[in-house]
Amino acid sequence: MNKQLSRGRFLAASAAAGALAVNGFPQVMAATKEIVVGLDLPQSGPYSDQGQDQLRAYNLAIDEINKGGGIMGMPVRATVGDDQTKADVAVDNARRMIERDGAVMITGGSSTGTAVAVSGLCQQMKTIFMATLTHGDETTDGACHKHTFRRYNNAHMSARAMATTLTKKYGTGNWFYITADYTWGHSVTDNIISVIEPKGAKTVNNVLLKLGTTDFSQALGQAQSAKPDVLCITEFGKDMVNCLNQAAQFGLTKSTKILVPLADEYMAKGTGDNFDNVVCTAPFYYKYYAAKNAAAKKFVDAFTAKYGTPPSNGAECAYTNMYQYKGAVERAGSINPDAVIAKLEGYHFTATKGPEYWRDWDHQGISSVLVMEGVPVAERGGDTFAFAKVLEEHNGETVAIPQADSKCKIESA
Amino acid sequence: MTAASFVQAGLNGLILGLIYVAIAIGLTIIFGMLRLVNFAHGAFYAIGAYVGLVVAQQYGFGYALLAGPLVVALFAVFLDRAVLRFFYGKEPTAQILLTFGIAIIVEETLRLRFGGTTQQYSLPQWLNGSLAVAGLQYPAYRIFLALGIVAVVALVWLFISRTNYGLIVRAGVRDRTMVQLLGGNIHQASTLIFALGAALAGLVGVAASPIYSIDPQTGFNFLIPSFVVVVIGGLGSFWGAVAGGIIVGELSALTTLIYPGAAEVIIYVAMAIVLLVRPQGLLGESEIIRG
Amino acid sequence: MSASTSALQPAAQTKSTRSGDLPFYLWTAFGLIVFPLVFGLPIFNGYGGLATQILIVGIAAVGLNVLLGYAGQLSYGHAAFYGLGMYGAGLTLLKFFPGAHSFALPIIVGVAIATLAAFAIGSLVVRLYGIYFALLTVAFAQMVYFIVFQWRDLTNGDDGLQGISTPSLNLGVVRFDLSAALPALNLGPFGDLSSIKEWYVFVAIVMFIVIAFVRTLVRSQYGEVLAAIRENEERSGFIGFDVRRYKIAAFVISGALCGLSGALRALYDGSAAIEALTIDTSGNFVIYTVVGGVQTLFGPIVGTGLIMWLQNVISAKTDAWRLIEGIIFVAVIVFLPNGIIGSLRKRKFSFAGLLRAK
Repeated sequence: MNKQLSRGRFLAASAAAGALAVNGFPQVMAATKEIVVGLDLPQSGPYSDQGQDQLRAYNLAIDEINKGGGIMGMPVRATVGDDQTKADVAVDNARRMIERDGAVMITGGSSTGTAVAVSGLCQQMKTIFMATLTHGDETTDGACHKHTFRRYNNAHMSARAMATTLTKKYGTGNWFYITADYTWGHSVTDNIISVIEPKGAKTVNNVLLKLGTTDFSQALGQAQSAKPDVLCITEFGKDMVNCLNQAAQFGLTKSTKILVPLADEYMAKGTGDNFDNVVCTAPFYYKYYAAKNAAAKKFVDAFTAKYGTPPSNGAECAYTNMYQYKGAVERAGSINPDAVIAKLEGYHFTATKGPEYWRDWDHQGISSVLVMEGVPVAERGGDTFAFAKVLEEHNGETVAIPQADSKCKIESA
Repeated sequence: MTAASFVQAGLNGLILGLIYVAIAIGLTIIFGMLRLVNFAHGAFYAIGAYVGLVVAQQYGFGYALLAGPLVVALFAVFLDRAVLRFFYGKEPTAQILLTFGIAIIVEETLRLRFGGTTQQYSLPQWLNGSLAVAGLQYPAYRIFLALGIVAVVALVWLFISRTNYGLIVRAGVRDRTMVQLLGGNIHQASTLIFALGAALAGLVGVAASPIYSIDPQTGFNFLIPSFVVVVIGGLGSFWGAVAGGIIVGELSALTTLIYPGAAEVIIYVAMAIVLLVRPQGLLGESEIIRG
Repeated sequence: MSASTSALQPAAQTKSTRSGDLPFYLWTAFGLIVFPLVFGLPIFNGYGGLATQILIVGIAAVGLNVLLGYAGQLSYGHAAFYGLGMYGAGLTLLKFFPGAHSFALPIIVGVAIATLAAFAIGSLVVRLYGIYFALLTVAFAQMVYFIVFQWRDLTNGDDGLQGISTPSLNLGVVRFDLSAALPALNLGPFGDLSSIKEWYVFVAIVMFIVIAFVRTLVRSQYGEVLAAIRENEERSGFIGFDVRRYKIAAFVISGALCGLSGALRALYDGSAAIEALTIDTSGNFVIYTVVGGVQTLFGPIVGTGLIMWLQNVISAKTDAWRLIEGIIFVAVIVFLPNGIIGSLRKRKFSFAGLLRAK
């Protein structure tokens, strides 16, 4: 407790110092102690591949930052919690990180369910939350908070980015949806429907299945007898892998066009040839951006050298989130959350993609969206992660929710 | 809702039901013979699944089907001799707590050894395709799995009804003391039945994992539905477990057609009705209601 | 019900302390005051917030113990009442009475919903025993989970409730914002008083009342009849007690206390998660109660404290914390069938007898 307490006191002192800095006394803070960040991400359960890859990226970023002298001279220390993709566990973890370890920033996550819950707690505890892999609109829409920032693309952006491809490639016939039954799944499927139904597509069924479903035979059986033109699988992580592989066993990959609105390298690896010709979106693809952007190449090379596999898109978001926090603290000259938030809002930067920025009124990161199409394993050149070709790259600005349509109202404090 | 979708759902329910049958038979014969309420039965499934995973990666799926149940049987014998035998015939509450604790230890050991991530079996190519059944494309592996379970259940029934050991077991279910007085080795038979019941769960752990994928909690996810099955059928009754399994499988598959969200809860509703109306279960005898 | 190795073995009767009411309450109050301070010592490495959470969840364990310890029935479904208390309190502030800045109202509604559910479920389940009782409680808890999960318009389904803003506690003359810290006061090795929030004081008072209530209950005629039913139900029935009513009452009290725990948790966390209604939660309550010791007043609280300490403090040191939990649980069942507190021998140290008071 003594140790914790002194850290608590230190933080209080530095927060006070930060407040001073905002009031025109920069450089007040003594560069002594450490900055604790809480990594709240799934290490078990259906989304754990994504959580573990994020953890690798955080460790890489923190190592690099500490080798370069930390943040304003203070080393960064991570405290890690397995959120099991359960909202209550994620909230307990975040609270423990803040209270026990003195974390000044919480980051990570692979589900909009946990993100929204942690976001609420962080708002209550006045702690910055850099949400990572959360793609449901709510995180920066209806459930947005002053202390929460989300850089990952959201469902609205994905659906708008795919609009042309959906009508051209998938058409406006009968659509059958299998949807993860929580915020994210609802958000994605609703967005897709709102894009294609006005064009004339019909929804024959939307089967909602609990997160962590392993046997999709009932839903796939219904899809099989409904004979739809398109099967849209709004599932993520291992759930999506199970669903698509079982769809192949039911012969659906041959008879029906399959759409997976959000995918990453691990899901594509787990589904192998079944991902061939499947369209998906992603905020980042290592092969694509490493060829375009020197910073991306440096990150991808360092990650691959350290861990033996290239980074998934969630890992990239984790890595950049860590650097974004570092940059904002340094610009603010403080870890005071209000000062850091002020330095993130409206900030324009170029990291591992193209130019991007943090929107000030909903704290959504506005960056490019990739529309991609899966290729068979034989065409991946021995790298099972090299799963797709990029069809289109969209400017985030053109596909993001406009303020007039948003339900977000950031708190004043 | 077409006729085809009912056929499809019926087939799905049958296969799910058969998987429950194979797990529940172990649970029910262990209860019948040892009067032990075994909350660690799901852990046997999980151990089988993980042992099978390791063996399948090294030597192939066929060997996994042997190694999984074998390791689980050995573990069960150890557990029986080391701890459980002191709890035979004791209050069910104490047994539930003890075996629940053992299940936690197993689950956490698996988590530490294999990590918390969901893992998948890859099947041999020839099992991975689909067959045409009743005019539908149906995954070949699920058909083989169903046939295999039917064969295993038949073998277990033959063992219990046609062998000398089976005779001791059946007599032991009725009256343990009498068997001992007549010179039957009830302890040996108890251990054997425990190992057999556990091995069945281990075997299903290997055989069903290509469908469900596995994580350390998988066993627990099967445990409660298996109890639902044996309670509906009648705790301790062999054919009760068979009937209960099919009923539970079909009930949840057909519910999915109408209201997918209710597929899970429907089996608990069914169990609650059975417990309130006929607590000994559909095929159970009425003597064991009081704990 | 005579197994000597049973986890439900009754602790030796200690009726002689009936006169010791005042010392008991003084010691209890003292214990609740020093707990967060001792807990914060470097050897425990706890923190103020965790002490509060332990007491909140401990109320649920005390509640389960009324059923498991004093009535001798094992429920694997008490997550239902905890969860209903949680959602009841949360929805009161978010949907039922969004304008109400009352602190008491959400707690009253949460407890009321949990109590009603416990009465409905209890009336049906008390006729069964052992595994049948346990499984029927599971079944009803799963139904409650299903209803909360599917009633999306009201409960947000899988997403749970967020943004339950805790109203301040209004006592007429003074208002307390419970998330405020206590005044700064250096307590030497115990750290600083300001590391504890007013929430702890409030929850400790609630816990004190709960302990006093359960103690009075167990020592009343009701408690004695309940014990008689536990030991020999048939005989109690012959003597003329309405066994069913006594057992339903135990079930309802235990459910209501779980509801209270859930309601407090919702206000403390500012959120309610659907996972609170799962069988994992029910199983945790069972573990807390059994590890600490059934049929003891403080056992469930100690058990909750020990396991939540493993989960929140030891988890930082080893991934094996849950394995340790399982080993402790099995070891208690095999070696300490009366739980940790129930196994402390009387007279060994001064407060041991007090701790195992019934």
